[in-house]
Amino acid sequence: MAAVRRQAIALLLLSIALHAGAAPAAGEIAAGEYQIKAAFLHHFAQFVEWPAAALPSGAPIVIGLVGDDPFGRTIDDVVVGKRANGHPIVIRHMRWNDPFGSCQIVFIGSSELPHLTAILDATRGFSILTIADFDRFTERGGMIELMTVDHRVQFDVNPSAAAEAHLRISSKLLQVAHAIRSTVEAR
Amino acid sequence: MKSLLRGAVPLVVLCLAAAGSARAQNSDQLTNLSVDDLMKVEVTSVARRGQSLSETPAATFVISQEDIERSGATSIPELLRMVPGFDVAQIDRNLWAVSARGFNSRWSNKLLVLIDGRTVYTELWGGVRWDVQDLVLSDIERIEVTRGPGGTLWGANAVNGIVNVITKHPIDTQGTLATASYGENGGPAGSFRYGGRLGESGYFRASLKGFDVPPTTRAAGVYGGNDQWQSLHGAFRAEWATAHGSVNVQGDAYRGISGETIGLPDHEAAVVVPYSDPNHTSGYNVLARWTTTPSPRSDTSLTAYYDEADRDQWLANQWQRTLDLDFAHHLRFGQHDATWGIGARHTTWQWTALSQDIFLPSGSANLFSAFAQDEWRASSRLRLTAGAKVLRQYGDTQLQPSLRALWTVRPNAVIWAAATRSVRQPSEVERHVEAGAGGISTPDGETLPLIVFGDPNLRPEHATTLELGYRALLNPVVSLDLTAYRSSLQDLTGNQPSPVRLRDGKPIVPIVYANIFSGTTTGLEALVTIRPHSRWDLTAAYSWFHLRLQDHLDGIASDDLKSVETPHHQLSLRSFFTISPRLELDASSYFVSAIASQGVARYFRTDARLAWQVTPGIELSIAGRNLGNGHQIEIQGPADLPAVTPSSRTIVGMIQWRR
Repeated sequence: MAAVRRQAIALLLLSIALHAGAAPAAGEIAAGEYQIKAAFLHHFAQFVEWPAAALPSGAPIVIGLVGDDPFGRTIDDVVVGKRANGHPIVIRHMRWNDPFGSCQIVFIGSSELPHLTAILDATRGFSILTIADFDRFTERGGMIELMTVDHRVQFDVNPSAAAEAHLRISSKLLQVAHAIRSTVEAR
Repeated sequence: MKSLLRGAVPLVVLCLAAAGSARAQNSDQLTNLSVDDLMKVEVTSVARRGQSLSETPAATFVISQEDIERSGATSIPELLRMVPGFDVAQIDRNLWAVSARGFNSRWSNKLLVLIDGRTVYTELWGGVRWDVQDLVLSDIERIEVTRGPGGTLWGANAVNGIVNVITKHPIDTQGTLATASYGENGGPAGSFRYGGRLGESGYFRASLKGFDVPPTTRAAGVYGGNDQWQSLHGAFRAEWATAHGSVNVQGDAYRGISGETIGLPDHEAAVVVPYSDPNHTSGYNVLARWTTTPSPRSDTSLTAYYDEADRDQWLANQWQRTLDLDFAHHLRFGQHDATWGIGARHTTWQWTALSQDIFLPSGSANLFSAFAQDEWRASSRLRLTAGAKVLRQYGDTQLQPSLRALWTVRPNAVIWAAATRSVRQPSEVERHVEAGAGGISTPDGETLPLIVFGDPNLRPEHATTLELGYRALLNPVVSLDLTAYRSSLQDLTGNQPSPVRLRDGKPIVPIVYANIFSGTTTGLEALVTIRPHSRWDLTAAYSWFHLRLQDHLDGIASDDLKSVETPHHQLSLRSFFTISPRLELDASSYFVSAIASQGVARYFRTDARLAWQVTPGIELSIAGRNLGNGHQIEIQGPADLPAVTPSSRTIVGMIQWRR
């Protein structure tokens, strides 16, 4: 009896494992949340225009990941080695009180929520695209907020915050954005 | 067993290989997609905490919204079972004993529980009444749990742990959510929530939750019974953005019945007889918080709350009112991150004993506290935190200093260490109670009443705790969190039998609360999270606990020792499996070793949940708790007071509607 049950368990595990490992069906690509978000970072690098002073031609686009890194190795798989409008992409891990002047994009991890004001303040005066995936980021003065809606990754854009940093967000991005927002909390 | 293991190894390898190939295959596909197409890609699973590394120099664990949903739990104590090193034992349908790092009993008093910064604390006996801390669980954003002393930021009871429940900002609960459920041993239950906007910059939500859990048995007996649990709980929260910050107003109101069966001592016969009582509960609270950020390097918060809790219980009709005011200032300069604050609390209580056996004077108490803490980034790899808190209550001032260090060994690994002194103030019962506790027979056949007396001169219990922790992301799939601790506890309170004396001309045996114990606790807590596939999360937790207690008598107070004995080993395994984006299968299994002195056998417990997202707005789920075990006793009091009702299997089906 016990042996039969053991086999049943093994079979169950096997079927689960096979199911889990199955390749995505054609026409329906599925991926991990941060794989998709990493791909979005690549797109944002392509669809945002930096002033030449902030990003000379051929210079790398530096993405600073601030705080706990939710991407892990996926960001290397998805982004590293790729180019955006001829610029190579470089990933740098940072802390909330590091200087951000050398970055073109800053992704703020949700662990840094307590330091958000300080981080946004430190990016001010530079042409830095600020991205995060926690709630109300755009309303607090951030530029792009990634979110998961019905199992799909979407994003909100705060164009006025981007304009203040002399960044031009392509109309293509604005058209598909989930919502266009502006900073709510006065500073 | 061996053959199962042999079978399992290739399976795990297979899973890992499958996971690896899926990742590689996807990454190139993803970057080649247009933004439009990328927005259509289905997320197979959301990331969990296992992928990031907490940099807190303390033994912390966060129960996320996903953990709450996927656990199938319907109450906060049931959620706390997943925290490594926590000891959660169900006493009956509405009563739990919850503690961390030992000293668990119905009257656990070394844990601090906060709900949005409001201390949920009964001045009378120093513990938490979990039955009335019953929020709509989907209103909770996360529960931050710290095992061990809370350092300098927290209140008077934070000796063995802190449970910090944080509810969602109302912006995150916009729209309508309704749930209805029914099931075996779960009874009917429902909740409703609505969230909307308040003007240009404000948001609010209002929630209502109600349920009627039937009793295990209707007849009162040695195994308890009459433990029905009914509750109606309303809550609201509103938040506005202001020029330099935000204002938050929230509150709760509830009314319910938490039935129980207790053993009441019969002095004449020197026996304990079962007695059932419905325990009517009611209460409300209002909290307001004003947060400002005058500059990017500084923020302040001012919090005020009023809390009233009433309970008509077998012991007595009792109420407690608390008014609390706190101010905190957080500032950053150079490599420093500092916080300081002050607080004052005024509590009044009334206790109208129903039986002459139990007497406790009504009264009031003031608690004043001040704290300061600084985190210094000594180098890019080393952070040092020093702080101290001063508490003043009952004319006694206590200092609680703490020193913590966090060292980043590698980008994905940290080691932390902490030395802390923490204090627990004696409760009102320990200071002033006068209660009959049955009788004792003398050699000449006479029965003398035993009377328990409080002592207003009790010293606070205090503990010095050393902790060492290691956290690492070993690779993208496996993360590890280890903590070892040793705590030296002094002036622990217990009941000390004293020589026979006369009261109203009759001889009695007094039992007096006194600082009679000292001891050490030693333990290990381990947490491993494994993500064999992007759709599958596994979490394993183990804790080992050892308590050595010495009394300053001659081993007389053995009942006290029994009542705080805690299982030596606890092991749990949780699995979150996303079969498809709309179908989730989750299970948790727990092993808890025996509590020999209480006669509680070791036990296994399994909870499981299956959820189906029918449409984006409708979810059906079925959750079972304590599957497999018919009747399980998880804890036993020293004198069966209150009677412990064995946990029974619960299976509940639920429909959730959201728009």
